[in-house]
Amino acid sequence: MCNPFYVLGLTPAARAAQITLRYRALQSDLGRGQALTFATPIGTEPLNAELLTRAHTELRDPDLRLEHELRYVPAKRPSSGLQVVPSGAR
Amino acid sequence: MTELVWMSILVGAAVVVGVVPSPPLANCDPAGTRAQSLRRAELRGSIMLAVGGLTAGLGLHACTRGAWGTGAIVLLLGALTALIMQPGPVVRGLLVPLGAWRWARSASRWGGPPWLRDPEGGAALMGVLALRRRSNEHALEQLERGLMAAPLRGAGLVAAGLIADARGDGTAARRLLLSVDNLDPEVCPPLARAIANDWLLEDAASRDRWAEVDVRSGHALALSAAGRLLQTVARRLLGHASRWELLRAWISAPGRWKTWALLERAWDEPAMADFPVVDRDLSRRAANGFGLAGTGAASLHLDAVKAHRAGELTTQELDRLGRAWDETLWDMGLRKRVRARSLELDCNRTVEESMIELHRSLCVEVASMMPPTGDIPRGGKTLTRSVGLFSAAQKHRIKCALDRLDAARSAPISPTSVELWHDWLEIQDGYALHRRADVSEARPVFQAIDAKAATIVHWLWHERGERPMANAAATWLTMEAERIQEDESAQYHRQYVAAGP
Repeated sequence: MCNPFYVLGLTPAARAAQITLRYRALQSDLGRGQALTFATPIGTEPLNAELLTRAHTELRDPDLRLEHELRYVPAKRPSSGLQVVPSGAR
Repeated sequence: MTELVWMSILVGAAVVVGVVPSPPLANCDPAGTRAQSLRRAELRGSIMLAVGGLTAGLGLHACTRGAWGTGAIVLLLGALTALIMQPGPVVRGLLVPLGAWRWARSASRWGGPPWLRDPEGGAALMGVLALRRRSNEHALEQLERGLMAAPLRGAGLVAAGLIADARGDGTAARRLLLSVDNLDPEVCPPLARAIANDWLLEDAASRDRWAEVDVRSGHALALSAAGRLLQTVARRLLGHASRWELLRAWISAPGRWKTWALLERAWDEPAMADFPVVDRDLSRRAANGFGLAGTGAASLHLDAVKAHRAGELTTQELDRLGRAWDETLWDMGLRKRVRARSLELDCNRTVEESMIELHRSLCVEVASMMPPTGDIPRGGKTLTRSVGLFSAAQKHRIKCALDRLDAARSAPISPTSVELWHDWLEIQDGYALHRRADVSEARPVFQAIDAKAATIVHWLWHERGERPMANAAATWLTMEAERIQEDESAQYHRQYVAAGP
């Protein structure tokens, strides 16, 4: 469950600059020895430097980014039932 | 003088029993496990007869002459000798609960019931049981080394499983303990089988798989009191047992304080349905199409990953997932959206290439989640490709295990018998899964196994001296050869089955 968007805590709407900024911020937190986690739709997972670097590299590749966008589901999902999403969000 | 005459008669009888082989012993292969365990039992019986006769005769002789002290010493020495010859009750009643693993192992090595069929394995098993609640890697290594002293048999296999469990490798432990049923009953002491069964029941209960507990305990030949409690709890949770039955099982089981929580849970919990209710409404599970591809299929994919991690992925879930991906990926609307997004991102791949790559990676993931708890679903592009990948993975698994076993024949340092058994189980499991996945002819895969397995069985039997393992492998090969009507192969392997373990 390592979609790079979950690893960086971003959505597919994020721009390239945002991705790099978030990557650097998380990298510096990890460098200070902080124990970090990231949220996925099926639970929380520990973050490490290898995952972070891979996520950043993959999101910088447009082909791989598109693939991850296609498989992206918001990390917070309704457990059941229908959720009305405003049309502007699509 | 009469007591001395009786003593001489009993000792003489013991010598006769020890020297002359019994009729069943004369009818079986002297190198086989059955002959060895019968001979062991016979010698032990004759020694016990001699010790009993000697003790009673000398004790009575001393007492009738008024030497009460000498009589008591003789009786004490006799009782001590009997305990040394039959250490089973002391080991299980005293040494194992005390955690004295060295003593438990050494005393069990002297043999006697219940380890007549596997003294070395029984010694290791008693040592592991004494260590059960402590983590001691050095002790585990020593016990593991003890297993190399003899061919792998039932008690040794259970000990290897419990050692894997003590090291935190639950999957290997489960696999080894489940494979106890593959061995011939002649090489598997009933107590070892009962210990394996109790562990498997506890394991299934700890993962909340009560239906599995119910089925496994229902098929068990004999259940311990703890096993009976788990069976009753499972039946109660599935709605088949009354509170009275539950209470009776709890009272008769050991460790009532520890099992109190279990009783409380089964007492209060309402009965569950026999079969899980599956929500077939796709739209209820998804977040209404947010995102580029909509979240129906991606959402189901995440649900499937979660269920797979918990070991609860069902056929229906997998089937629904495959169909959902088919609907999503071959939707023209999605392709238009992907084309637009592809232009925004300045992708190198065409839309078609992106979709092909996505489908490939999805199929690999779906294949890695197989098999589900029921049948392997079929139909649709995603499922067909995933089943194909899964089936190919099983073939590869079989080939790797066969290559390892083949290499072991000429390896300068031969693998341990537990490692060899693991490799053999890889072949069996891979073949079983391949049969489940592949509806086409199983014959080519079996022939590939048989081509190498025949040599491996021969090596295990004649050179490695692992007769019980070779017998178990030959039994499986015969069964499968008969199933697919490979008569020549079945006939070849039947000779190893007939010779016994």
